[in-house]
Amino acid sequence: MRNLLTYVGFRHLRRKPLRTLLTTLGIAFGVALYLGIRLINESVLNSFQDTIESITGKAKLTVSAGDAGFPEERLEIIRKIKGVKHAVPMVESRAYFVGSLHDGAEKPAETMMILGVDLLQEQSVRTYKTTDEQVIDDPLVFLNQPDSIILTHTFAKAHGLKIDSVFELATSHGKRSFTVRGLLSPEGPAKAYGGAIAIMDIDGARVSFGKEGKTDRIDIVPTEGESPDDLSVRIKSTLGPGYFAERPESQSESMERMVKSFQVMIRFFSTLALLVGVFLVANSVSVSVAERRREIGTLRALGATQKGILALFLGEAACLGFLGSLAGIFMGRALASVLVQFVTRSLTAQLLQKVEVSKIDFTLTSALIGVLVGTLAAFIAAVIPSFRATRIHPVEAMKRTEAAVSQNSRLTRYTPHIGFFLLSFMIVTVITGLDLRFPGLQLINQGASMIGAALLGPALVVRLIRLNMQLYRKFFGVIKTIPRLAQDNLLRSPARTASNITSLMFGLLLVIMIAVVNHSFRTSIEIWLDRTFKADFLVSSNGQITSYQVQPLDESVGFELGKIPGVRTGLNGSAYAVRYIHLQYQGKQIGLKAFDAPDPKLGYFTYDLADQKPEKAVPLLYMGNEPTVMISTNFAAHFNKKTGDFLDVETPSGIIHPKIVAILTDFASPQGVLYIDREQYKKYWKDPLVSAFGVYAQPGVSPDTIRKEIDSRFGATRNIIARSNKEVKISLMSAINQSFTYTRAIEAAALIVGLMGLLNTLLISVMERTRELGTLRAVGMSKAQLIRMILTEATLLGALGAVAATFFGSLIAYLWMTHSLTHTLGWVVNFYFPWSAILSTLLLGVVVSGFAGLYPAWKAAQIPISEALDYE
Amino acid sequence: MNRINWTGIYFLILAVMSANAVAGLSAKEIMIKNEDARKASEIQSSAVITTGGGGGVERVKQFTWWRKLTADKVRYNTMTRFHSPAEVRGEGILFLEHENDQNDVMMYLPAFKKIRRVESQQQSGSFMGSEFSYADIATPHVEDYKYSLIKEMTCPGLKLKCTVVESTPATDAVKERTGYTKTLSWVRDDNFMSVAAEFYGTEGTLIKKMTAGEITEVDPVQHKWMALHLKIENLKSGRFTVLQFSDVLVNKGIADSIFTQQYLSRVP
Repeated sequence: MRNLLTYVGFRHLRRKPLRTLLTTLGIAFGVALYLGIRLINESVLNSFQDTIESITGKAKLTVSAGDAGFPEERLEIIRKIKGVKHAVPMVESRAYFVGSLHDGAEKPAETMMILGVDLLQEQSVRTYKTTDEQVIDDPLVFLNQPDSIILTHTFAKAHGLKIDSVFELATSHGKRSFTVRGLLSPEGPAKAYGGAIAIMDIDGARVSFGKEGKTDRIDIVPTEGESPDDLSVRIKSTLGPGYFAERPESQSESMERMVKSFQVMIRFFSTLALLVGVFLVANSVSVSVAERRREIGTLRALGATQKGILALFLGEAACLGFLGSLAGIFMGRALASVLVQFVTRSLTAQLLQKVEVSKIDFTLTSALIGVLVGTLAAFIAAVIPSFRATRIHPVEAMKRTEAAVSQNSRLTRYTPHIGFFLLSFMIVTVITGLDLRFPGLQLINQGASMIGAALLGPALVVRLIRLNMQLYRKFFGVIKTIPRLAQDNLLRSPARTASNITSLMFGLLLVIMIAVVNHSFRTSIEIWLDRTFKADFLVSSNGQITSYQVQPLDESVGFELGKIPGVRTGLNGSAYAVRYIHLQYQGKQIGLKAFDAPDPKLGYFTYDLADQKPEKAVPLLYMGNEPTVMISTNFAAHFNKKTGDFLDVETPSGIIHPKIVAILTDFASPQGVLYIDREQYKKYWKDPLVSAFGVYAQPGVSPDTIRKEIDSRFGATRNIIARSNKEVKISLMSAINQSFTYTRAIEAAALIVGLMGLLNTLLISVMERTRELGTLRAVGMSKAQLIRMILTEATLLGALGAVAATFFGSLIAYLWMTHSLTHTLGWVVNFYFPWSAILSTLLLGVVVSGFAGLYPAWKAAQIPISEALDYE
Repeated sequence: MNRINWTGIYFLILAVMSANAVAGLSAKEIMIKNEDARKASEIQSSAVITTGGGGGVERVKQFTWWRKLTADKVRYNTMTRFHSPAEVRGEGILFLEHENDQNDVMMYLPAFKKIRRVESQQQSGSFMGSEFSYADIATPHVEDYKYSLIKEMTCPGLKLKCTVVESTPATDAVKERTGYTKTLSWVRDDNFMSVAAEFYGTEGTLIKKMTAGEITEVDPVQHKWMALHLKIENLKSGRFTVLQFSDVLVNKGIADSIFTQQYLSRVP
């Protein structure tokens, strides 16, 4: 068998370098995308884990109470709980690096995480390392100066900072100067958040970031032999509701849960690219089998067994798979480096919290998985055509018959039926909600929908060609010779047409599905934003306000804004304040928006209610002593709640039971958002900070005048900026676009593999029809006409393939968005048909297929007539 | 002529006995005497601490220092109040030694008007950025170590005799607290004061060297001594810390109220 592979198999691969290269590259691209996405997914999870482990250090439990923090006095209570050996507090805040005071010019905002720690207690939980073991140059000065900060060596070097350098950060009190009084090596806690981290003493951080009297978390080291789970129960029962005492693993798991569905989605896309590669190999082996019928017959006549023939073809495929995978793992590693920033940006936008990956974890295991997956995929792809090869009888094989790759075998005859069955299965399970009850079905459905569409699509293409011919005849009469011949060719062998179109269909399906999802998200959010966001300006500290990644401001800023002439104030005399925080609800992270009461004269447009009239429901949110809430549509779907129900919301002041007064649209959090009166929020969360202020100009006052005033009063000194309504919308749309940027690479890779697949199958198609093409040339067809005919076939396939892909892609995307999206990704998004994307996909189909047809057409034209007529 | 010079013999015997007394002392006995020689009941002093080296900026701070023996006559309470530079003015550190080394270390930060407690584990680390650790500053207790005599030699930099004593932590807890696996002390034979010391880290490598100068008998009545100049060097980082004491007052009556949180937070 080894000899058979060495002398026959490899020789064949060498004799067909283009096909070998195309097939290998197809696998390489598939593996690259599969592995690239896998590496990114793993690196994102490892980064979460690293960050959590680095921050928690030796702690076995972490006590927290959500973004708003809790009173610092809780520390002493916790220290007295039996089983607590060390309890170390921390405040966390995201700040924006404004620049070094010696720089002259200000640089664009760069985000960093500030950890305010008790440096006199830290050693019991975390160890900070530097190259010379001296973290802080002068602890006495460090601790007594609120502007003291420790940076990582990397960050300091990148910004030209050293010990005693002064730079500015955006804080809740505006821009503030900080002095570098320590440098850290990127180890221990300094590894967290990808090294974009700074350490301050806890009291300094509290003062600078508006957290006076607050603690965000307390890390606990239990006494020896104490079970963290038992201690967690004791801590929770001592502190009461609103507090969480979690193991570091659970925090990591909770982050993993949050990104899991996103990762499943991108893994799905990447796996599809691999599937296209599988089709490519299957095609390639089919051609090989057809081409080598006589060779197989000879080998069989000389004594090669069926098993030997099987091993020969499978071995060839495995070799191609292996070579492709080898190239694929390096391409995948490179792809991961490029894509990781887009994926993390997308995750950041979705989770509304910074996701950073400092390094791609490319291990030997990852490389081996890449090689294994690619080789196995190629092997599996070759199984059916290889079995066909074993069925070739020596006597039959020796007869002079034209090579027939795409013969109408029983399997190919039933391909559309199989596709139809798979698609129907997916539709039924999605519509009936079975896939939600049995999560394994979702995975099966992903494969079933794509394979089903790819199998059924070609049948649709064949029907469309027929329809096209009929319509053309009806409206324009006789079809010109070349287009007619091209269409006849496609119709004469539906199996061959199907084989040509399948790989391209995969690529185009992906493009359509991504376009539908992207467009629907964009349009839903755009419409919602137009309806709800009518303030002239949104005022916040520098940062990404659209994802609330801003340093919260002191609420006094609102009153200062209210004093600007021409600014319309709320009922309390302040500009309209909104506070956004994350919150745990039934173990899931949701968002909470606390708004100042609106002036009824201004209207209730902020509240895009789904089930109530705003005039009726909004006042209910702000009336009475008992808290009430509005819930977002996805919150209602996830937690099965409706207007009139009550919620159990844990706050740092205990559990509250607000009544739901309405359901509304909001996209801030995948698990849902609660709206609450800010006065109630301040009462229960004890947090007076504000994420942003909505500023409205009084009638007749120019918004530009107000903006100039805001800039002059706050801009230079406080690092507070006013973004116009239009700017906020543009910024949000750009953030959405950014969160879909990574899909471009997936689309490109899928299209490249599809293109190679089409190129390969078109080449095969030319080879199959060598004799026929020779006959056409013999009866007078010119080379140019032959080229035009093949190009027409290719572009027709591309255009109609794109139509079929549009149909199936939209159908799958529609079902996914209307039935599964809320459960998979969390949001409730309406389906919007992406007309412009569809048009560009149709064009793309034509261009890609035209491009793929160029070489086969040229090659066909080069075949001498006599040789073609003699072709077996 | 034949009269025996008994006085001469007496002094000769005394001299021999005295020499034998130092030479005959065990390592532990030498260290007990060392502890005793330093054990003044109350000390008040001004001091200047200078840190620098290792490529870092040299920083100088002035402070006042009160130290008083506790009722057990073994441990001390120590209060330190910084006066300059401006960034540290008013900062205070209260160090209360307890049994089993469960020492309380509290720090007052005037910028925040807050007293902060230094966690015990933190106490094995550097004392406020100096090359002294909290353990160096706390009184070493004889029982915490095992001792062995290494050799007798001339004291480094002095024309005096010294005995080199090796101290190793008696328990893991002491090792963990101090961060040292071994200490070599050059103890003067005449007054049992250490003039130099070497500190070895976890892997047996020499990490710090200390020299003590201006050794002065601050309490001639009780024969209590004090090194007014201490220098400690970190061999790995190249950093050093120098402590220079002046205006030393001994047994002049230090009120117990100085060693309280109230006094700590009261900035003069």
